[in-house]
Amino acid sequence: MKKFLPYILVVALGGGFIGYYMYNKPHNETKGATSDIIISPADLLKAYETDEAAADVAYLDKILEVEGIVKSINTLDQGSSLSLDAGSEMSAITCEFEAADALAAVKMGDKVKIKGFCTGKLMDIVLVRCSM
Amino acid sequence: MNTDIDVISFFIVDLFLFTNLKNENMKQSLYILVLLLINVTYSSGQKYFTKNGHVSFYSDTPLEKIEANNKSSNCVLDLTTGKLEFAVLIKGFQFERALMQEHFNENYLESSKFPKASFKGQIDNYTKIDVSKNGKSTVKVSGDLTLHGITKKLTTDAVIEVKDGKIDADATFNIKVADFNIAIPSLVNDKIAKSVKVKVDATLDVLK
Repeated sequence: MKKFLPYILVVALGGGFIGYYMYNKPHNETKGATSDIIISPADLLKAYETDEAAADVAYLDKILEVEGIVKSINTLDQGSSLSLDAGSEMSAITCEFEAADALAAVKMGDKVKIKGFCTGKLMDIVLVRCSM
Repeated sequence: MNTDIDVISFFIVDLFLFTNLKNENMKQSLYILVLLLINVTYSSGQKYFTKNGHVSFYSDTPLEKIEANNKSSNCVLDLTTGKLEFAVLIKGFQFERALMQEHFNENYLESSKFPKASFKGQIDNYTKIDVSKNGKSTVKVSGDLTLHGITKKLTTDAVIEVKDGKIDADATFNIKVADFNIAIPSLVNDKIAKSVKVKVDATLDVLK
């Protein structure tokens, strides 16, 4: 038993480090990450309006890269968000940003390219943890 | 009621224009303008809406405090009927710790299977909400909360504040995790509260 002690210690320590890292692992970020899917706001909306379940399977949790015109900007009590025109009166692409000042330089009508995790569709399709 | 006044005023305007085609009278122009204004003001809707409602929840145990925030809740309030509805995407809840967010989505709420949570309810004494002036009123809301594919009745107090034409709706209530078939593994049982506090804070604009 004593012979194996150093090996057991190494495994235990290794396990400890992995556990510690997992416990404190950072959030997946879109900034600097490669997008999984590049799609236009209109195409994304069309996919969701045609078959929401299939669109969920294709897009949920993926990093989507969308380029479009800013339809509205909101500063919220936590972070900020903007919506991209998807060619519909009712529905747009809402992009949430963690920082309250993330959209300081953005104006209505601007053309922007945004990356975010897709969380599904309510009225808008919502992308979270976005970056430009 | 709104459409009746629209139709009547348009009819009167058309009648006036038709019978006074040759007349450049200022008085008539003013009359028409007044009718059009009545038309416009009566057209203001009684539905209030937001796509940026803030829904958050708190689990408080001696071992751990957990907080999650969602800033894209859809909320609709119809003052003609007192109906209040809100919907939220589960994957939109942000936690401080990534691992907690992962467990929440993959294991507890199974958000790929049940991507949304929603509440469809009725405000009990909605007629006392007066949008024409600033003010706060406490109301009771009752309805159905659907979470993790399970629907349960929910009743809660809410504070409705009218501020400069916008409506701010605030509600805090508790839900029992077990009520919605949310299975917490025994390993983390003491870290997650049996009853979780949910807060809704939404500022709604008139739906045009």
